[in-house]
Amino acid sequence: MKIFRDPITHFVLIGLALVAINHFWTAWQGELGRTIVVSTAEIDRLETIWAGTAGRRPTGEDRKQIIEQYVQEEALVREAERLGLGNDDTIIRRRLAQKMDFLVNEDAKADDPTDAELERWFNEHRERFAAAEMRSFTHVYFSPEKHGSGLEAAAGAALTQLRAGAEWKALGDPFIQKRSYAAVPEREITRLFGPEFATAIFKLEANEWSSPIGSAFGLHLVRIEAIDSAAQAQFAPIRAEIMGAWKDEQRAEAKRAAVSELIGNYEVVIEKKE
Amino acid sequence: MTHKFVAVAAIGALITGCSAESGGSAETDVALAPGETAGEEANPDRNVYFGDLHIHTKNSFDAYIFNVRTTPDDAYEFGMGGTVKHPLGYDLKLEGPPLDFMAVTDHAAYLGHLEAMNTEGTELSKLDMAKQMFSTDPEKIVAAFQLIGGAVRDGKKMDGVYDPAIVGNVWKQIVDSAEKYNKPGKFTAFAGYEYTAVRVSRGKEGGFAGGNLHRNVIFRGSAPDMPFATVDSTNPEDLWSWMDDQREAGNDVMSIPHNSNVSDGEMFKMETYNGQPLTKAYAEQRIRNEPIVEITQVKGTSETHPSLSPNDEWADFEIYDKLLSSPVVSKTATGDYVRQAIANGLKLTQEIGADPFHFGFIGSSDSHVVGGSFDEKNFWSKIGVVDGSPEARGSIPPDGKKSWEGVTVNPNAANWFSRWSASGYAAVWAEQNSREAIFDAMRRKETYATTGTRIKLRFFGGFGFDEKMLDDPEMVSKAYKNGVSMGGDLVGNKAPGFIIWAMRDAMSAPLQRVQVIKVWTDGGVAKEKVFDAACSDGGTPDANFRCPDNGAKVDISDCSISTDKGAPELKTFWRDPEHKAEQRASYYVRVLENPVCRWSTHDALRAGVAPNPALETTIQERAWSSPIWYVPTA
Repeated sequence: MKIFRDPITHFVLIGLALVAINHFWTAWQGELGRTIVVSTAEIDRLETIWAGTAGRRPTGEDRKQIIEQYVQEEALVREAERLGLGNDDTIIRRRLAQKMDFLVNEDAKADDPTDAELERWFNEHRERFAAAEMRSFTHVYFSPEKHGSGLEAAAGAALTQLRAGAEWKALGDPFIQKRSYAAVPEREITRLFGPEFATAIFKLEANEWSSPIGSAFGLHLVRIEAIDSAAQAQFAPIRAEIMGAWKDEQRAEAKRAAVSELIGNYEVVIEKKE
Repeated sequence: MTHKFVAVAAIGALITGCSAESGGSAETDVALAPGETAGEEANPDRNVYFGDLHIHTKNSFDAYIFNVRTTPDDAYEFGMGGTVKHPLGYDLKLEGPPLDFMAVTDHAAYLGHLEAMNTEGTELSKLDMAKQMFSTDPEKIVAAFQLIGGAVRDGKKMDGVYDPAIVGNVWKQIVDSAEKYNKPGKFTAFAGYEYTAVRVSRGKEGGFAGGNLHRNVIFRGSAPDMPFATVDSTNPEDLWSWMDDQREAGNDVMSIPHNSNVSDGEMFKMETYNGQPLTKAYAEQRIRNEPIVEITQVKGTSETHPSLSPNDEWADFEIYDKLLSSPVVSKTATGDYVRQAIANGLKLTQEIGADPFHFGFIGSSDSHVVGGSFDEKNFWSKIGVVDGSPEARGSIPPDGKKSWEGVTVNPNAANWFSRWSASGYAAVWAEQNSREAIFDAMRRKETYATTGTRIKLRFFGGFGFDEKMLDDPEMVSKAYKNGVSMGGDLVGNKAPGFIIWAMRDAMSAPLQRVQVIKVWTDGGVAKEKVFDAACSDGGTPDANFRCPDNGAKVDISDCSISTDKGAPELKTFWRDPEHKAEQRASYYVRVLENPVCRWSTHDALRAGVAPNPALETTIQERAWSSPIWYVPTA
């Protein structure tokens, strides 16, 4: 067939097959017996998806069609299962496991804690919510391309002048980026100047000119202008964030427990290679 | 749960990720020199911002089929430093600092239609086409997808399939998402979309084979209710007329062509869409609407081709010249590459009095998985489940084999995916990080393109410039005052001087050399010449304007690079040694890094196999400035 000689065929086949399988098995839930139950929760879910695309809530006629479509698909999926179409297919097995994983996840929902409980938990995990330390600094740059072997001497001479009170703006070489940075965390400095420079300036004391510090660009004399220490988080302003983290943790724990209980129902035999 | 996680990560990034490029806060008492303000205040000497103006999400018909389910919101979260999921389940995160600006640019034709087809209860899901598209029969799936792809390309409104209400609704979500994430002073998000025209030049049998005329349409601020797509017209000239109307109506806008490298000679051809001679009105309308071109992205480089630039030793770089989804090679002789187009523009200026190709350069990613893949060390390519693994993209042998001996690489990987690139960025010099400042900088072409590295590059030209300016602390403000920056015109009748200043990316390789590429025409024939202008490691250009080899090496066994070669910055004053006062010319800068491993070599190294012998093992990351034009008065 011509279509199979067409390179685009191969191009989209893999993608399409995966999409199709995904779609096919999305409907794979509930009992696979002879009763098709369309739960109110399922109707809600379908309507929400429908509304997201149509831009409005479904009306009576739309709802009828949504349900008919669902029932039709469910019946086809169950027939496919009876015929064993999904057996021993790695992708389908993986999809099923993912789906089950998702369901276990759903079951692992926890009730909201009281404020007192949440605050106690927050106090035990304060470090998670602290903002990173940020530093503001000014630097005077010395270019290796310009000074060559005289690089360290040039930086040293400028340092003497700075420590004697000279104006920093008049010293050093032009720098293509900024000469003053305000409130930047170490991660950003690493990406902008390289790790050596970032580590070094996070060890400096404030308000004095440093000895020459190397970066990806050359040498720098650095003065820390301000240190915003890792800020202690307060409970009230970020209560919602704390609640989210608490729920994530509860859910993860409940899920771990549920999955290991499931595994506990099986005897696991791992065969050794010869 | 996933969404929640992304949201939490993004909030974290907002709290701690105050970008140094754009950051700064009013509360900190930092002594700032004039013109050195970091924060929200305008910097008259301008800051460089890095962005990506070419991103697809699940709303694009093809991305949806690649199993992408991530949204415009996810794209912006990624740009701000957050983590998003690849369709194959792994995490995507930027290696470099957060981006400063972005635009989501989904294919406007049939926007959101695939999701609607895959949603129970919708009208579209009842179509035979939808049932086939999401069936399990590969033959039917492909047939259905070809119908949609063909309709996008040909601009056909298929009866009962094309639904403008869906387009309008999804477009509104895209515009709203940009609005939500746009934070003046910190992060710029533009409303935008892709206009996906293809000139079918090889018959319909070739799938999408034809001249790629794709453009990204970017709005400066407000946007209309509906995008202008191929279903409205497949002729880009009609798009420009619509854009002119939009500008009149208060929606300022530009379109940015991309992948001219696979346009089959169509993107910069020397006649109109309908085969008429170019006119002054055509040229003016085109350049008014298309001041910049995307010249590097995942699907290769559009600067020049080795067959067009035989004397440019660096022209054979990440060349990708197969027409979209096709093994057919694009006609490279004319119309595909910007260097030649710029020369043709100079010629047209003399013939018709205007230059339709008077454009600047940017790069972008064209990712279809919402996150751009910029980093050689960690490449995920662009089309989701189809090229998301090293095996699928041909960088390691298939079926877990440990050698390339006797291996036949899948033709899709051999023809397409293995040739694609971890690229690129749009770099913009603007007074501040806002929609207005960045858009206006793009309009004046004060932009450059990079292959995914964050080289900083200044380029100025002026008649009064001299060598002494290089050490002047006020160099930048004086250069702006007495000359033009990249993208500008130098009007005069004597040899201009140029100041070029490049600084490496701290997380990439040191710089190897800085070059000036001169383009002109002689008796109607396009001419070009590459001049090395500054060399690393103390070298100076020889009589043929070439730097000595600096000896920088890559160790393919572990991808380590020479630590003692290359320059952190290169800064030079340059004059054209062959300048002719009466000759119109264009000059742009190319900065080359020392070589590093190509992404395919990193893939192979991680898998413990040799790199694919059909591919280059190393690349030289680079930046290209927008040109400065010398316009003789005489």
